[in-house]
Amino acid sequence: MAPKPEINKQLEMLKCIIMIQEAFRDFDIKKLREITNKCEKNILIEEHLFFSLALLSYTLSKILQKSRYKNERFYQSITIQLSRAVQFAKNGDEVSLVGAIEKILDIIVTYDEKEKRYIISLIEKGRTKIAASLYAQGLSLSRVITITGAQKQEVLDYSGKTVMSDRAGKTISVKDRLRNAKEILKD
Amino acid sequence: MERDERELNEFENRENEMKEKFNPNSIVCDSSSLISLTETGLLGALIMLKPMMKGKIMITEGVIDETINKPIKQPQYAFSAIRIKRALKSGVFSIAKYRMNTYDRILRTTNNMFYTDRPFHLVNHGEAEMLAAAMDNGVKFVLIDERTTRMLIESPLELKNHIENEFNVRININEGLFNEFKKLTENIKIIRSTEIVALAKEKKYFRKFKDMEKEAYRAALYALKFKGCSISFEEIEEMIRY
Repeated sequence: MAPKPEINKQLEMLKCIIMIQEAFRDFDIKKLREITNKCEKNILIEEHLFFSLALLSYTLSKILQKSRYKNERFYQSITIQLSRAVQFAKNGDEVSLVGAIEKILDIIVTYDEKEKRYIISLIEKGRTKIAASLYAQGLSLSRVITITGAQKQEVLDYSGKTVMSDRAGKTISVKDRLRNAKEILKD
Repeated sequence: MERDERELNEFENRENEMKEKFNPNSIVCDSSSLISLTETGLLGALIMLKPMMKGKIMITEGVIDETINKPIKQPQYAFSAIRIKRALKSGVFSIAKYRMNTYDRILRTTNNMFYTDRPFHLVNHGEAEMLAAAMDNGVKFVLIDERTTRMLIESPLELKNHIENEFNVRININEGLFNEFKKLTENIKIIRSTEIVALAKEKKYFRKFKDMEKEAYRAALYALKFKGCSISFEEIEEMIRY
């Protein structure tokens, strides 16, 4: 595997936010999911910024998916903030970009509260999903909790329903593991 | 002079506290295992084993925060937190202390031994604290359901390969830190909640299910997997046959 050239953070954030804007405009759920995955990988470059972008992309994909979010004014307010976010990214203003993303997430939270259907909000679900994905990719559980702000219980629960432990992690035979475990007991 | 003496006394007191002798066959619990055991209603299996154990069941202050103090304020997790709190109050767990320099050493090695164009930050407070508690108290066993830390101890190169494939990056190894971490953790053995349940089964924990004893054991192992214990389907089936 050839070493990857260092990714230009500013260029990458601009690409990501433009792709999010276009995918949301085109109602392209699949594309938004792909951008979420791309941003997750970029968390290695800059965790706060690319986590915000991943969370935004994931949340917008869910909004396009669910009929209860179909509201013109709601879509419009998100579109306006997305344009602002793109502008900030063009200016290389990372802080304002993250601020604009937070504004969009606030708009979603407010809408969610008015139309409340679930106890756990869409944003919280997004945090859990991204945390579980990073955990599956190899970061430790407490590390992904720090990055995403998700709840440990929720991440464990979500991960338990995936095949992450079937894909990697069998390091010692069951026989040896049970033999080791027996050492804690009195004879 | 007086201050130096006081500081020295404080240091010695702390060292003496640390020297409280724990049997090396005690276990230090991570929050991940306590969460899976409690959420599946299987904390009783661990509690049942306690009198049969050579050593103690230890937890750190950080684990108390993660499994009791914080979740008890959230309705969806409060009941599990109360169950762990009840176990703590009834003396199931002993509090494990650790030295800050051990904790720092773990974080320094784990978060710098793999790198791309920058160090690959793998581990945070929770896991580092648990490992420091085990090392500083001379305890061999850690109970952890979390996968990354387990792989880091049992098969770090496999973890490295996994991360390389997942993130599509080439990871380099800082040999010095890699060997330092291996040396630090060479005596540590990992137990998962599923192994605790397997031991409990041998001690007739599932007898209460009468003619459903075997099915209950199998269901319990699956329940732990679905609540986040890092075990594969294949391992569960092997464990049932064993």
